[in-house]
Amino acid sequence: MNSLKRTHLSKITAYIILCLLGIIIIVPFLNVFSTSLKNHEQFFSRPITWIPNPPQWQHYVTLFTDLKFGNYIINSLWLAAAAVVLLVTSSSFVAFGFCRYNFPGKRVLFTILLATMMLPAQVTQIPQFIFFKQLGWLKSFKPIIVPMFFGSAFLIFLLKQFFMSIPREMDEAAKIDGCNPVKIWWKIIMPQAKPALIIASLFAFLGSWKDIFGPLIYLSKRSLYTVALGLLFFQSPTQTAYGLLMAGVTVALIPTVAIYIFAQKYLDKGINIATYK
Amino acid sequence: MGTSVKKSSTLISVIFGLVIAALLAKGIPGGHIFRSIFYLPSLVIGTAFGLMMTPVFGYGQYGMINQLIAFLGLPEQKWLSTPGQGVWVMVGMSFWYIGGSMIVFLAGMKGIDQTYYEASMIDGANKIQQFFSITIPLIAPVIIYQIIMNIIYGMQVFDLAVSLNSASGYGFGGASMGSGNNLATLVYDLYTKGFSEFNMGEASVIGWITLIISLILSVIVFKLSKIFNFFNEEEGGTT
Repeated sequence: MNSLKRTHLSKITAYIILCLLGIIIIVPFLNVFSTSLKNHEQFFSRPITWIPNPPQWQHYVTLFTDLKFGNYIINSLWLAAAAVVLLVTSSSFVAFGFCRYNFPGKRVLFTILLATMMLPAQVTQIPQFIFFKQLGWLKSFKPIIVPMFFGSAFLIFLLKQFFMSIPREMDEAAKIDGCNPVKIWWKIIMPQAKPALIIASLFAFLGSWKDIFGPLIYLSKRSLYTVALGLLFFQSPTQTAYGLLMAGVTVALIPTVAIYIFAQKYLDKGINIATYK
Repeated sequence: MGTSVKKSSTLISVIFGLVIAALLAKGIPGGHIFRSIFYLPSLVIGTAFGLMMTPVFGYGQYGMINQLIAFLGLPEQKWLSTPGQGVWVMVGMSFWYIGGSMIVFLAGMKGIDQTYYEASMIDGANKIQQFFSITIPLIAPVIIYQIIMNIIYGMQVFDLAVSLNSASGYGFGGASMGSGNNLATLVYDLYTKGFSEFNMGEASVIGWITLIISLILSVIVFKLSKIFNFFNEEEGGTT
């Protein structure tokens, strides 16, 4: 009886702590949305009003008409789509090689691959920048899209973990039937790894949507801006358009939140496999 | 200064991550929702997150924390623009990034054999004793791994610094990243040196320093992973 009471008590304490921390986390999100619906006077009122009256929905209209936020979204989506198709395909191809074939130096190569995951990407950006500058690729999407053909260490690692669970007997059977390695990869491994490919696609999408360093140094032209850059160099008609800026932030948050709500199952699984296995 | 910041933000993320993971590991109803909430900020665009946090810390007397402070009868602070204070704001913001650590720790805790807890319960240990004498020692390798990874990621904080800096340009009470404020992380330094001052030589030096520190830390992680087998390199090894 006593211990039952104790577990109840500890559960209630757990809930209280979790709720408090959760509220701290979620408040800025709610504040962004609420601020995006405020005009200047409503913003400068104390104490904070959470539900502005009347809500200023026109901020969202201005965002898409005057500030051309739609362009940024299209650019971001285009890069993200390229990331999903190119990065996932090339990464899965490399992962297939690491998973199914033994060759001299495989262990060393795989270790180097994992090591690149821990090195800051920005460190390699200076030589890369000079390289792309000499090719004359600045102010275009090329420096961001072309490297996608060469896979990403994180996705290769993630996909390799999945591929290892696919029984080898299947590709041996296909080999006997006369399939070459490329065909085995495309016809046998890829269809079976669908959940893994969905997870990899989600990571590729989020990674590209969130990226700021690459776009910042390569896409220095307003017509090429991504959403992240558009927010960074926000051009408001008046100096202090808090509401408008926060409307922009809200729009930038929507895909992330949507992905998280609709694909949480996959993300969770992917994070578990990637971080601790 | 820079290093003490990294240490404290790592500590915040690890300690809160551990506590939340421990609370969620029991499998309480609704735990799923909490987990989503805690992980959500980690998925947000860095610049959007930086701008999202300016109303919390900045905006003079209209900032959220300043209003809370005023309510408690304390003088308001210029969190982002006072030299030396901006750094601690960044540390505070790392609280929003506890999701990553939480997920790693949760996965580690799920791997702990439940019989340990049952045995200790029979011996009369309470939840807090269990946490310190069973959970912590058993996931110690995971904790070390996470601390090192956090330090490596700490050097790479870029979007947050750059967006807080840009917020200052709009008169939002954002932070300036000059030498006075020391808000700059290594990678932010690299960016300003290389791509706005076009001093590629100095930027490369910073790049090398970052590389060497990361390399040393990564070697430690790999040595540990050999001992504890983080990356399940053998086929058909432990799941």
